[in-house]
Amino acid sequence: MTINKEKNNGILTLAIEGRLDTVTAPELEKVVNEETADVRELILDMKGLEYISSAGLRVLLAAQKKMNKQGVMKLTDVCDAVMEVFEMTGFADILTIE
Amino acid sequence: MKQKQNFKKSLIRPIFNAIIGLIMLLSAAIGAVGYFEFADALKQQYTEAANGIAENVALGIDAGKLDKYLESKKADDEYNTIRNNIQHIADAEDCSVIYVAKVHRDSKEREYIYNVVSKTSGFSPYDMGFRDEVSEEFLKVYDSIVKGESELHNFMYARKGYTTSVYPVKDDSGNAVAIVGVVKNMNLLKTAKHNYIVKIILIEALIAVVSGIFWTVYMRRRIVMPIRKLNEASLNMVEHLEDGTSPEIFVKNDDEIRDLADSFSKMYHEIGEYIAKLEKVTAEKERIGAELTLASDIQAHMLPCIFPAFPEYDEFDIYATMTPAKEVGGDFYDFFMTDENHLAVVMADVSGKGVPAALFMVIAKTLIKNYAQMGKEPGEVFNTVNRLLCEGNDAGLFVTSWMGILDLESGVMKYANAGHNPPLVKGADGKFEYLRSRPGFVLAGMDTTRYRQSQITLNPGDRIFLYTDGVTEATDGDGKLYGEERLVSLLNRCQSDSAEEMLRDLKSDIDSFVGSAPQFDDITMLMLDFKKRKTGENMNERVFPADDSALRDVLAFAEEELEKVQCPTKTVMQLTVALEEVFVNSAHYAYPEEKGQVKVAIAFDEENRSVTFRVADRGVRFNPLEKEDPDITLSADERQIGGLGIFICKKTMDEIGYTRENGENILTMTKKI
Repeated sequence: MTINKEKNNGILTLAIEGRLDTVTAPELEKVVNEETADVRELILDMKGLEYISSAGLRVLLAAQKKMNKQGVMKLTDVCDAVMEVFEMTGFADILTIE
Repeated sequence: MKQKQNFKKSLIRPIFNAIIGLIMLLSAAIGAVGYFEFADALKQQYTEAANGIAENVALGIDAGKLDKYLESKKADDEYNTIRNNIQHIADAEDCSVIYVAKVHRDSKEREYIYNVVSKTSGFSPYDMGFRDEVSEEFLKVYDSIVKGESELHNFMYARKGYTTSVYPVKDDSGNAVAIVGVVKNMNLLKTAKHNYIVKIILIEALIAVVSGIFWTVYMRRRIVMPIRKLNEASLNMVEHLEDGTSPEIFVKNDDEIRDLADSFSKMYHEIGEYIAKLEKVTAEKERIGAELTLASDIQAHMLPCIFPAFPEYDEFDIYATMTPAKEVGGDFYDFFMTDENHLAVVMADVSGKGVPAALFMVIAKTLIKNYAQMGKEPGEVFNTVNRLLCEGNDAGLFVTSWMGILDLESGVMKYANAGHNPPLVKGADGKFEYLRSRPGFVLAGMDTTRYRQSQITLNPGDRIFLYTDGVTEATDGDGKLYGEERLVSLLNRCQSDSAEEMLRDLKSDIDSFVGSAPQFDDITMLMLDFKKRKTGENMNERVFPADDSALRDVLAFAEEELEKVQCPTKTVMQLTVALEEVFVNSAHYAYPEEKGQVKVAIAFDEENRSVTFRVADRGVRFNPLEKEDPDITLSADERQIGGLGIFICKKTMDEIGYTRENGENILTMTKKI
């Protein structure tokens, strides 16, 4: 998994590519924790994400909870397979997916 | 058992009748002879008396005066005196009539001079000069008297009870001038005859009755009673034999009947001994019969007969039957698992019938199973079993056998044939066809025989039918054989789904073909229905350390396997996510202290096009499926972190299950692709 960070005017965009699984989820968690201190808007570009497991969902949920306190979080370009996981688990209702 | 002796039936009746009849006949003969002798003597006496009287009367007659009396018809004193004399004689000598008459030869008449009747006769006398006719016989006598050829003559009228003597009255010159006739009564003869006959009959009857009774009693004692005794003894013989008592058949007199009685006694004792011997033999036979039944029971239970035989295997269905022709048969079938993946089927026919064949069958069956379960292949099994059976096979028995071992995973069946009829195989085209291969020699025939092994691949849905020649050689009343053609066509026609139903249909077809004709050979059949290949055990399995760091390798292994079966991308993700969740679960929770391992197995079911994952660890008992599902309707802030992994698995997989076996947590998931 690779994460491309782009911070601009309180808006943090993280472009995630590859797999978000038990092994890689801690990496994303670490980025989110370190980079979002003064962020109002967190955009997760999911275009390159092809795989997500419950470990990934946990990180997303934690991020969403955190952002709920300081701004907004948006997911973009979610592929079908990942979207299905979101819908299946109720995450589609929690997350803001564009 | 005593029977009332019927006189009509008894031997006494003819004996009695014969004795009475014989005595009567004898008495009648003796009586008749005696009577005639007596009558003759009497007659003689009467005749002599009559003759004497006639002579006396003649001498007292004056021949010279006779003609004068006839002419004058007048009686003088002399005439009267003579007449009185004659009257006196007639009364005294009991002569009915005494006459003196002149015979007129020309007119055949007698002219009476004197005619006197006795007082008791009841006749009236003729007057002097009365004439009556005379018979020719009288004339002849008269002629002979006149001629001087004879003097005295007697006419006997025995039946009328009198006799007549005639004597001539002669003149001085000796010529017969008249005839004296004396008719003498034979009263004594009459009464004597009557008395005699009555007496004779009475005596006869008395003798007949007395001797009849005597003889009858005697015969009864001597013959009838012993025979009756014998008869009674014969009638009661069975009772005596049952009681063990001896019948009373003592016969006093030493004769043929005693011989018969002795023979009977001897026969009785010999029969008794014979029965005792027979009882012993019968008891022995019964014992042997009971043991044979037991043996046939044991034999029947040696053949696997509990169906379904392998309920834990849904890869195949097997059914077999044997209908023995005799109590203990020589056919056998067998099927068993040689290991988890291999099913062996055996069909065999031992030469001969009865106990020897059954014993040989037991040995052959045991040896085949033993060697097959040692993991040997059919050819090798036959090589070894054949050699062992040849040792000490003095009876010259042999076994024809067909054996196959089916690999449930690959469907490959390796088989060998020892002189047995080939099985029928139903392949993809749905038709049963013979699986021809050159058979080897029979088992126990030659110890150097090497058996060739062949193989065939069965696909799911294929069937194989093994049988013995008792099926095709079942014979109907006309001696017609059931035959291969009929067998194949019936199997092809058969609509039944299960192996058991197919064999049942086949058996009832054979039964209806055979009808009431006797069964000559054992009828043994086995049907194996290969339903699907075994997948569980051909899983690709790998062992990973129970650690998150191994996850990549786990997923790479899964992806590699899924690529082989051309799994759609979306499904690949669902499957790998599920596998990750389960694996991570094990890695995190199974081994709280030291690090363990997790086995991951992946299998593909071609038929159903489904993928199965099996994840096993030897950690603490834990069933993740028991955990409650998270509430997915809550808002982000209310949602708990965790519990989602297994929830995703449940949602995306078609089947998911947990078992704990042999200290392992086993989680199995299946999904169609």
